[in-house]
Amino acid sequence: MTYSIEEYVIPGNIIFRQRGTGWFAGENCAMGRDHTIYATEAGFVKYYRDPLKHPNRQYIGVAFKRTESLPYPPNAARRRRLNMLAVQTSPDTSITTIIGEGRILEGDMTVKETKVNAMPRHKSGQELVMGKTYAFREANWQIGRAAENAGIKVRPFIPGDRFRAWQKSAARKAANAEKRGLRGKRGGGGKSKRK
Amino acid sequence: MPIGSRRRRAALKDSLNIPFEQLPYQCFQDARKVLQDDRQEKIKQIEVARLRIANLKAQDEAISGGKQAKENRLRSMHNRLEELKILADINDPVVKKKHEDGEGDMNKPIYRYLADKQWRQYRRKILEQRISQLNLVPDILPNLDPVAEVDLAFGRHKIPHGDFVDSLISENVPRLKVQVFDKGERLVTVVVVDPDVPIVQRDGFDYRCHFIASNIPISPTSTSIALNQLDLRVKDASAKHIALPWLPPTAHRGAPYHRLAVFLLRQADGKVIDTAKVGDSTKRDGFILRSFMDKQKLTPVGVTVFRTKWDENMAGVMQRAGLGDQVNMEFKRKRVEPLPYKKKDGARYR
Repeated sequence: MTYSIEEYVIPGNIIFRQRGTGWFAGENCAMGRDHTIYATEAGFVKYYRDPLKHPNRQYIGVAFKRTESLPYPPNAARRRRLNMLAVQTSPDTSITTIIGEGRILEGDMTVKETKVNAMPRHKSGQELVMGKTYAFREANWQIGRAAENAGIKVRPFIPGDRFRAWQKSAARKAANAEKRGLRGKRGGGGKSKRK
Repeated sequence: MPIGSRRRRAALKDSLNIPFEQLPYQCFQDARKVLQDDRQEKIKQIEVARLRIANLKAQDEAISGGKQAKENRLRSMHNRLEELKILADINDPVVKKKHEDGEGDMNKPIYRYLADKQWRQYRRKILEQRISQLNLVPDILPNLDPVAEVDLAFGRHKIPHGDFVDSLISENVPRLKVQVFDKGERLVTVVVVDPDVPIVQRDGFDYRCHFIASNIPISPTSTSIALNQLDLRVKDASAKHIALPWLPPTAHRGAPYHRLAVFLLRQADGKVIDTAKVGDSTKRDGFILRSFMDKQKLTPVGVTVFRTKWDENMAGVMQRAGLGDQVNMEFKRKRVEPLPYKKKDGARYR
């Protein structure tokens, strides 16, 4: 048991782990594939019986208020939460969606923040072939020319340009040092969850 | 929909259509004779039953053992009479044929019985499933036992129970086809309720009434209720049927789907509802069908349901319904704050 009577849980919290079905999922709870009971709504854990549902089973439920007792009265309207916010949007933003925000390496170590607008890709000239997994996909030569089609320019390599070479190696070293620093900070072994 | 099974229709197509009396099969004719004799016997029993009922009605209450006992006995005798009426015709091949051809006269008990049986065999089961799947019980009513078949259609679009309907289609007033399976004319009220109106302030849902029309006469033979033509020919204001006119169903972008439940409610015998008063006193938002039914003495007899959600035509529908300010409102999931991480007691790791 992870959460006992009247403890506050949020959706996804595992309330009870068990081998077999000693407990069943009641109000605002669900049962995982290994019979784990977890919460689907935020609220307070209740352990109860519901003879109208089943005479012998014992249930774990989540009540919205601490003072409420489960099971809810039969034939009363269900208590439901919306769990949503109303946001005003302009009609344009619905069409333009931001795909990704962050550092994108473009060509030759040129790093910048980008916002990409999703546009319907021009797919008229696309030829799909059946791949090994019976899924239709683009041919490899087409994938290989994707950058060219997208018009991505790479700075040409000039042999003997020592200044450019020094720039690149310095950038690489800095990146490596930063990476090493991150690794060092984490320390302590074991997996740490992103928070 | 064609009537009769594929096999039956194929057999009918190349049959000679000879009446049953002239069919040259000895065994068939003998069997018909047996059934006819049985029918004569049942008709005699019906006459006897009618006579008995008349006698009991004429009898003094004191002799028949009190008012309650007399009523109980009369009721069971009536039930037996109805049963005999059905038993008299149930084995008639012509009746079976007429029922299967859809030519049955719904004024006669046998055809009503057969139609009811057919409805309960499959279509009512689906309706029951939709009622429980979509939680109409207990969200709108505490319990529901449909006894009349209600079919919903917007123009020529027939809507199966629980189907998603395009907002442009459901903007128009629907029509109902109502088949009741018990005799007589009665007045019904049609109410359309949406139990899924999102209320952000309360973090929950509310009810909204989309339509109320009362005093609609319905019988086994008059089955059509065109809700858009109810008041077309009514001049007198007090005889109007519609208390609350049709409000097109709407759903916001991103919000969960809305269920629109259409209820057919039978009015108490002889009670006529004052629609003008109901229209004035009823608020659309926060409409509770349970209390409305208690107030107006209504009992649910039929139900159907359709669903609506945001689609490409919804913005236009909302504009026309006077909800233009809500067109750009979008519902997004609320972030649930994670619980603070509690470091476990160090001792347990040693």
